[in-house]
Amino acid sequence: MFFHKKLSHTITLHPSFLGPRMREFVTKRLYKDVEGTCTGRYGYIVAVVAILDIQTGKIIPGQGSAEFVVKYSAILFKPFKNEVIDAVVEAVNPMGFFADAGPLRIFVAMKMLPTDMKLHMDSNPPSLRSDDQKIEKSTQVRIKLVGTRVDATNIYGIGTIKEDYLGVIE
Amino acid sequence: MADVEGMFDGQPAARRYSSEDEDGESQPLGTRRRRQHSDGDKGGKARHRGGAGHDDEDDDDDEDEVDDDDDDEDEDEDEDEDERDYRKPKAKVSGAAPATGAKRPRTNNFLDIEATVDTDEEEEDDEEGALGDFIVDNEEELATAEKDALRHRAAARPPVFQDDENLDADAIEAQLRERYSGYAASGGRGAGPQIDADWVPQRLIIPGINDPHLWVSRCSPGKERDIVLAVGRRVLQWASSGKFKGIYSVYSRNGLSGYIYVEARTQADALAALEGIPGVFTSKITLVPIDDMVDVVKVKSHAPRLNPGSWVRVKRGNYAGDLAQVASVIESSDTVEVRLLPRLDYSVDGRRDKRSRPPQRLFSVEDAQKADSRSLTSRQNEILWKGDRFINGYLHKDMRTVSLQTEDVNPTLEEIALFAAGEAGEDGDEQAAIAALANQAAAASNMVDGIDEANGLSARDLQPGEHVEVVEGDLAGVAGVVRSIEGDVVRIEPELGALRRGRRPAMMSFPARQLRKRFAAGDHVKVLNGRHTNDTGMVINVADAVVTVYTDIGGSEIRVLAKDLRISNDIGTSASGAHDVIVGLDVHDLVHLDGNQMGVVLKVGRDTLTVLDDQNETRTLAPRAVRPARGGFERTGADFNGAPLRRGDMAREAAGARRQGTVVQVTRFVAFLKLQGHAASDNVIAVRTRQAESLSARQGSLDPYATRTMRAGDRGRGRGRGAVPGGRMGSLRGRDPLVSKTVIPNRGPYKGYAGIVKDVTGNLARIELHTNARVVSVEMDKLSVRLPSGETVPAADFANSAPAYGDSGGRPDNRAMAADTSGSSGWDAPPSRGSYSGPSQAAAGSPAPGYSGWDAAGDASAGASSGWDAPASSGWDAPTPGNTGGGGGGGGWGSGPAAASTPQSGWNTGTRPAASSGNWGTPAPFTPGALPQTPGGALPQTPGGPFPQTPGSGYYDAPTPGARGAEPAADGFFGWALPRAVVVLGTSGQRGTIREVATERQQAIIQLDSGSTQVVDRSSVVRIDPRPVRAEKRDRVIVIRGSRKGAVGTMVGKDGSEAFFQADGDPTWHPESQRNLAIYNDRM
Repeated sequence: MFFHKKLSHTITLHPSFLGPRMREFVTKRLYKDVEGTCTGRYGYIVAVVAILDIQTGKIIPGQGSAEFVVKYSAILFKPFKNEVIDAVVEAVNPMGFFADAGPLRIFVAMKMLPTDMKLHMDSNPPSLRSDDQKIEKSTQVRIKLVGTRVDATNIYGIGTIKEDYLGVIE
Repeated sequence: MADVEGMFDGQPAARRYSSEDEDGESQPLGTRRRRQHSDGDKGGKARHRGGAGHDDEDDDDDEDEVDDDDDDEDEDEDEDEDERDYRKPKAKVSGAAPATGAKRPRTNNFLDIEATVDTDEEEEDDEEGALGDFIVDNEEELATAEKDALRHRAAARPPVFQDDENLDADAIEAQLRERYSGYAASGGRGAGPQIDADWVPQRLIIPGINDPHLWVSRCSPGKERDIVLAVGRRVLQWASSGKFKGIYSVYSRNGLSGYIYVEARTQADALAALEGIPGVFTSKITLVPIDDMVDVVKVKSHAPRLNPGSWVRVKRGNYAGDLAQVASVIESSDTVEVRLLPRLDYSVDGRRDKRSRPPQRLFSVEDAQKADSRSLTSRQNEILWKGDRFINGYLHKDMRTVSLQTEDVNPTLEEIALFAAGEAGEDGDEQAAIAALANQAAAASNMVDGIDEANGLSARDLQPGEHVEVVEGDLAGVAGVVRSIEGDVVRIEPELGALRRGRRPAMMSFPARQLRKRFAAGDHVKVLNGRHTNDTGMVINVADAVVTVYTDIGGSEIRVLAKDLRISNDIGTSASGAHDVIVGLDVHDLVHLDGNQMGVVLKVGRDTLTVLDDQNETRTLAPRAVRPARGGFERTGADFNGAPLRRGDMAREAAGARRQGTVVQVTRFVAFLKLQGHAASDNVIAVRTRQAESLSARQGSLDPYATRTMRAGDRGRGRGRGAVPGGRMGSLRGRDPLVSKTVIPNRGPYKGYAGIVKDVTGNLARIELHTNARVVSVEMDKLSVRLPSGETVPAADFANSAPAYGDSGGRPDNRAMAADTSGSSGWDAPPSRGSYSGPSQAAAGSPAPGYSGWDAAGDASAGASSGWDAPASSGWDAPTPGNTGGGGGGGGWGSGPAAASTPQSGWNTGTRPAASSGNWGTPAPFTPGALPQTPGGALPQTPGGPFPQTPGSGYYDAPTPGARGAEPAADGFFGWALPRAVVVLGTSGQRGTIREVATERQQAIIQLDSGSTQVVDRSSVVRIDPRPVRAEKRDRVIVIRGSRKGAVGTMVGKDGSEAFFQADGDPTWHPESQRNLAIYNDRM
């Protein structure tokens, strides 16, 4: 699910950057620091929408670096359990298939496939087929997340297509 | 009572103190019977019975039954006593014995006949108003006895009871209650402690000093039972003959052979009872301390009890270690019927290696018939074969519990699966069977009061906060969260709102065994026990007790029992698993197998490796069966085309399926290709290198020496920079050319200090400074090398083209030179042939170049014995412009010997004793006239040596030395010639600008400043000898050699031989060797 949320981030600037283009640099650093990162709490930070406020920097005693607290708003992508999500199949293997929903990698195990779906490893590319569906690399599928696992730097999902209205999207 | 072998029908006195609960299970038979009876009689009575042994009642019994013609007196007394006894709380520990001590001789403790008990109770009942209706055998007798008793009692009765006939039952009860409670409170009687309640748990009744003592005596082991019976008979005999010896009980313990216990007042009594009985060693009789008396009769409460369905393991025999399931428990014995997967030997003659036991397999009727059809019989659903019983293919065996391991069985899912295979049948759902078995086992262990945690859930497995589900009992199906655990009782908070009381969450208590951990798909879990310990993963599927988990690491599916899982967030490395068991081996590593075979690791298991050998076969091996291949150098193989195959190359099969993949490992014979688009498990194939075709290095594939020369070049360059770590270039590798050179840092803190290079590692040179003998490390790019000539060159350049600088006089660095044979800089490129062909061509082709040619050569070799200078002189500033042929020749001299490799080291130095070298080295400069002969003379002799060693360069030059004699010079010019570079013609001294260059055709057009044009081609280049014009500060320059070749810019300054070059549009300066720069003509 996507969210638009106000967040804040602290940026530490080396004294050599404390000069005329400081704000620009802080902004750049913010984009670089936060965009594309992932936390368990907020999910992926997809994009910084606006920088709301850059507070006056504070010099860290003894180091000379300056700390800026930047408030910004960003678009977040956080997957939830039971969320239905569209994804693109990345690989099919004997245990199931992997699909990507943006940065999120979702694994759908064999058990989570419709029962009539069979693995065809010898086809090229390997595919999963049932009477009316064929899943192979780059097929678009609609997946329901049955769980997410949060790493330090990433989120992984486990999904199912063994329910109505899930599976290949035409 | 399993453990205590009591002789007497009455309770052994010690039993009264036993901590065993009052359940009939552990009580002697007689007691139990009595209990049943009275239960039928009157519930309220039962509580009196838990207490002391009612010896007095027994006394009464005896009298009624045995001495039924005792006189009234006795009976009276007895009744009095009885009544007294009754009034006193039964819980009193030692009340009975001392109080009745005086009368003991009269009692008969050893007979317990229920009818008489009833009589006794009848009397009580009478007192209380005929509450019982016992059937008494001897009614008349009883009636008279009762009358007597009543008469006697009436006399002794307190006034309140005088008219009890007139009172109703309730009133009597009330009176009794009042009276008895008063007694209990007043505590006027007995020595026992005052206890408020009239019932005390038996475990609190501890023997005291006033109780009979317990004596233990040794006896011959195995005879305990007989002795107990014998003593019992003797005591009974005594009793019947009227003399009581104060023996209260005799017993032995089942588990303790060689000991017999006697409960008696004195040691003399005990001795008397035991004396003369065979097998008793009365000399070894000792008193059991009072504190230990309870322990003597204590029955182990956690004796393993088995239930049908629970898992056990066989301890010994053919089935040792095998998992078995209890099929039924044979009552009142320590034997259970278990079912096992048979390990049968179906071999016909029954001869089989005793050391190896047959595998576990369901019983096969066919095999059995083949092996021994006569002993095969069947009845109902059982099959009998060779004395064994088989049901549904499982072996059913009666085994003693001692031979079974009942705790910590921990069956693995694999074992259960194996077991379940029989249940599932051919097409049965194995999963379901496994689940069913697991559940069955769990259920069975549930009945065992949490003793057998091996199968089911125990409180130990649970933690507050875990989700559980009730799987048995009335509340089966309730799900909740564990809130607290007390012992084996787990308090859970149900999730369903309907189970909540009001707004407060309800708490419900369950024994742990009734619960099962609950997981949902998507939960992230960690495995706590078993084969997959510490694996983590996400739950994919839950089938009752079996959970399928998709592991984080390795991404495989494992099936684990729910009790072995716990919700967890951390990502586990399989700590006890593969990754540290097999140290240093990873997937796709190259390993040595047995013999000369090699293979690559496909899979690293917990204790096995899956290896693909060079025959393309997959093997599963123990880690110690393989040896990791030695690393540290690069293995190559020659492919179908002779091209090198290296790791990481793309390659495909040269024939057959032409599968294509990346080389993950290669040996001289086999390449292991990782195919694309295949499942990770089996995507590696082994291909013989000669049947593989490299797709990476095609360009050189047709030249049989391409790889070698190329690699030689690689090495040369690489080593020059000191960048190639280790490797198998031993024959070519040597000291860095910089070592022992005098260098001067031109930047940094040591700028200007001179020093000698001690060592070169990577980009750092360790320099011993001349000034204070310190050794410092300086980056290579900050160094310039001071040559013996006094000139300095940047260290990087020196290293790159070491042979050129190599001082051919003193210390020829042949390896470096060899490396340079393939060097690309046109400057030092003249192949070795130049040295021979140059002069000869000069002699043959040009009218009188011989002298100058040799002069130049002489210059080169003699020029301060600095070889590096030679080419420069030939190309640039040879002193005599007339040395047309010699330009090439001189160039040849400088590099020729170098290229000619090791044996040629003597060429310039003259140290080589061979005549030819002597001719070459010394006379050349001085006797030009002899030149035409000398080379000729030298040629036939010397080439034989050096050439085979430098095939790359020498070999193909050999056939046409004359024709290509001019090539060195041509290469020299065409190697650097660039349009608009200003040159000066060596012959005429005219300046000009290169207008066009066709390097391939070796043609150039030079626009001379005079206005005319001069065409230079291969044949005329030596004669015309165009050379770049050296630039000065602020000249427009073009880079004619090196990495920036072709760049146009300005020379902003110079420092020694180094110039600073600023390319157009680039603010930074680059140091560039001056000889790499030529004046650039903007105006063209």
